[in-house]
Amino acid sequence: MIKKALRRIYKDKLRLLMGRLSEEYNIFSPKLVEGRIIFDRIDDVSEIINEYHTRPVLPVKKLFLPQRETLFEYEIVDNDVIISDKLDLVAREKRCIFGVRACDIASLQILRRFFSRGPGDPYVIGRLSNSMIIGIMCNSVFPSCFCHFTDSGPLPKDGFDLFLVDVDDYFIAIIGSERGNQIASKNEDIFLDANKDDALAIDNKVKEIVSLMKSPPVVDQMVLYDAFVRSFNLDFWEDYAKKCLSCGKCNFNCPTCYCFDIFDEVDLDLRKGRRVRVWDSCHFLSFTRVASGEIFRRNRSSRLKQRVYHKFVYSVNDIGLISCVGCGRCFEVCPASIDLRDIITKVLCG
Amino acid sequence: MHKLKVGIYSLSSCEGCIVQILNLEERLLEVLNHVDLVECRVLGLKHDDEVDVAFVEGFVSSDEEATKIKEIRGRSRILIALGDCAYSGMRFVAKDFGTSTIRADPINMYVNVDYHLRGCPIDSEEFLSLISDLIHGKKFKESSKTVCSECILLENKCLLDKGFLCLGPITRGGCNAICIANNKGCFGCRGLGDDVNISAFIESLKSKGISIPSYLLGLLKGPGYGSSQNS
Repeated sequence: MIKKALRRIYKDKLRLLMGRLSEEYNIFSPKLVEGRIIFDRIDDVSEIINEYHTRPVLPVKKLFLPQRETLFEYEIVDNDVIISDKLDLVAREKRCIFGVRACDIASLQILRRFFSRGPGDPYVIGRLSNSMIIGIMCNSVFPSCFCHFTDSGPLPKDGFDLFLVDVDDYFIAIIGSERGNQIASKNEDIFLDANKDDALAIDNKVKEIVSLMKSPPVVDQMVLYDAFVRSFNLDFWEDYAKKCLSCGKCNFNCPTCYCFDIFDEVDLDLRKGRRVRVWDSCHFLSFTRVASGEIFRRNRSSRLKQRVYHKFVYSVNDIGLISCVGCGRCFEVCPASIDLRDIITKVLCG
Repeated sequence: MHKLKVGIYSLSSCEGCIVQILNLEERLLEVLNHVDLVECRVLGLKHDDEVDVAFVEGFVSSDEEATKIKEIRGRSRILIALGDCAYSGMRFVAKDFGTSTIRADPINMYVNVDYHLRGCPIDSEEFLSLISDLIHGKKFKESSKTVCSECILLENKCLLDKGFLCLGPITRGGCNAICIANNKGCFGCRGLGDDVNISAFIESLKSKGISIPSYLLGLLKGPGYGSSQNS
């Protein structure tokens, strides 16, 4: 049973709450753009969509690690180099991300750990720190969902300020942080006391969602890790490589794939320029191309394995967690229909 | 700094790639501060001497043009195939996906090519980054990204999933999936990607109930049309 503090928000009060928050925060939410639902900045709370049947193609990752980002600009002025760091803009913005599902909440926790290593990445960590997360539990599942297997949903353990569970004509609001607590205290007219049955209602809802999911049988994550380590040289990887198109879509819509390329764009007169970061994909030959022209992962199966092993082995070595959140987006968009659940099942049977 | 002497030469083409360059407008004027443009047919410039960089657009459709491209190569330090006509002989359009018998030879049948700018027409931003690298004395590097990977960044709905033919998964990116963004399937004008898997793509089309165009079967045994210039 859930241990966190609970409140009730009647559904007709949600826009009122978001309207108040929009006075202080820039609001991002799933919204309808030309027939597609995408995560984006909204100007009016009426644009908020909290229920959808085709999910946004790109996960909320894009709001923290943009597809293309200028890190800083530089200019030579009187024999001096003037640097204008875009980090100032990151630090200044207060954002509220509404409608984040459990899988995406788990992914943000993973990104936080990845980008905290070593000296840390102030751009990504800065955005994670000044973004309030209002999550919402799924009312149904997509055919590719298996977050129960990766222990990332349907109810997130951590990493949100508020998390809403849809029950009849109200939401049960789970208070996940001090920031969330303050929002609830400041808006007592919206955040009503929870009923003693509400914790049970959450439990029942979780059970219902889990029962709808086509998830492999749950195993301990260390068992999964060991199984992957043992399976590295098995023949079935070549079978998957024969199907894989190396198109890179699975990297870009994965909520935890964070690899990027960095380059300088220099003006023609060599006096001004900018350092740019863009998403990159380990499925591309150019990903491991070094200055001499050498490419380290020419073999398609080695690139496919790199992506899968990063999720279940290298990530555990690196940050102590697997970095798959069970959203199934990778095989939802895969033109070759390579289902990660099949790979997992094969590895566990290995 | 020594100004690069640049020529833009035309073989058989629609000159649409040159229009893409002219579309850069003010930014093209800035490029012209850093290079000497000595030949360009549409601008009425003519030059028969040595150049540092020769951009060649169009395919070879006659013996005269075959002689002309060899002559241009002979007096150019760097030669660039501009657009899909020069790069592939417009295999995917003028040659009706390899089935037409008209003479439309890619220029690398006759001369060595240092760089390719792909597409029909070329992407003007890509032209800008190539000429900028040359001005700075750098090598121009192409990414292995696919059209598919650029399409998903736009959060487009997949045309293959809707049952339409789209060559996005096997075509080299760099166009920002402009055709698919306008609801037209990719027809591969940028050539094949670095490590394409044609047989898997055919299987994928079959599983989605999309009929297999015959030129795809031809690509299964074709020569290295998609081989990378950088690897």
